[in-house]
Amino acid sequence: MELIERYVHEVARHLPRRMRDDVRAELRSLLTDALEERAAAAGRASDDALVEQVLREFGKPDEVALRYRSGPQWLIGPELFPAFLFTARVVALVIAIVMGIFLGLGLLTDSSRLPDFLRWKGLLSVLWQYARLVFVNVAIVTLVFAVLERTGAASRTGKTREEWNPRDLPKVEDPDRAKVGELVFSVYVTAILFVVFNFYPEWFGLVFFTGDKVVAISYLDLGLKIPAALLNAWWVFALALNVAVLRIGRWTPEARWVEFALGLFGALILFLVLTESAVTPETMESLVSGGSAGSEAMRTALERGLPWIARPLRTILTAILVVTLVTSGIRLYRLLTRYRGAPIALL
Amino acid sequence: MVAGATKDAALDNLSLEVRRGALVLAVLAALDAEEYGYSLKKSLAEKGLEIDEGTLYPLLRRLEQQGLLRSRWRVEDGRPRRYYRTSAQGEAVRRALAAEWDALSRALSRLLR
Repeated sequence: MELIERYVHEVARHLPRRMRDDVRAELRSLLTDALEERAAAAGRASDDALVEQVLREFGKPDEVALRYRSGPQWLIGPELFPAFLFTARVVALVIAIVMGIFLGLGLLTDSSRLPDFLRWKGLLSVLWQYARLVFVNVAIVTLVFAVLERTGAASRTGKTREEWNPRDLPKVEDPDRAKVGELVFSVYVTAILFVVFNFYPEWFGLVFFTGDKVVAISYLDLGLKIPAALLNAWWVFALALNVAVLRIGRWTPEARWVEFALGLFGALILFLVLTESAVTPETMESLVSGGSAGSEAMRTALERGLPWIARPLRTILTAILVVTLVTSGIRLYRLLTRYRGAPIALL
Repeated sequence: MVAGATKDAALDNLSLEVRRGALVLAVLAALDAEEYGYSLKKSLAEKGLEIDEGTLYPLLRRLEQQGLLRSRWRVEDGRPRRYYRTSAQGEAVRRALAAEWDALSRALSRLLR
């Protein structure tokens, strides 16, 4: 009988906690019934050999437990899996590109490190760092998709068999079709920027990868004045927009208008940063010479990195502002031509 | 030998697929009177339908979770047993499945003739 007890517990171990006691009690009673009948048929008292026979016929505990469970047995289902794969690949690619840029900048500003880097040890250390970053980020992406799976975002974007209509099939090249992978990637990046800006502001700015360590010059050290409340509001709106489109499954005209408005809002924030901040080559020089850059490592990074990036920072920000405005213009043109006559619920 | 074993396994899987669909209907039909797991297994076997216990008992629980069966614990011969019976919803499903089964069975009989 001890074997039955062990078997019953092993099956229950693979089941959700709320089911365990009930299944244990029922299995115990059913197995005892089966054993008694088997013993009567054999004309002898039940023994371990009979118990073994009954349990063997019943099946492996984990397989039996699996049959008790209803509902999907997956972390990310078939509906979301292609988008998950796409996002994971994009994340791995973006990390490779960003690391490549930082590494390139690090080597440009300190070419004495080049021989070290070209040795096996240097290459392996870079690969190891890459593998670690990819592992952590793909784990986070997996978590995001697992949450989406469990909150039913996948089924909300789909329709039931009765609601489905072939006429609703998206056009082969449908620009309004929500691309789950891209949207989740946007949510992911926005959420990370939001967290870094608010909780680790010292990492929000220029980041240098010097080969063996990463040095950051925060936006405050660079003399940038960012309207925090506005930027946070922008991020929250951007997050809400991406999540909403993800749930609806399409870029509706309303969502496109909000996207356009967010573009203008972003341009306004950039404009305020440019007019309020004192980012000039002179202030940059004073950052280096005046010692307001903080630690020795940061001063070193500033001396090496400034000629390459920080000096044209104002130009870079202006260029981003221009691109944002041009993009907004294109979006407005499309909105006015494509959705002419379409109801605008949100504006 | 390996090819033979693979063929047998494939045949087992196909038979299982065929039986799986019929099993729900058989259980819903058999449980118009209250039965507990082991007695149901025996009564199905007596009517020519042998089902593995490891398949039948979890199926009873799943059908109950779906509202097609209802159950209660009863102590009989000093042993607590869980008794199942087809619910009203299960009865409606049984009728629909039986109609489906009849149509399928007639069509297959014509095909196999």
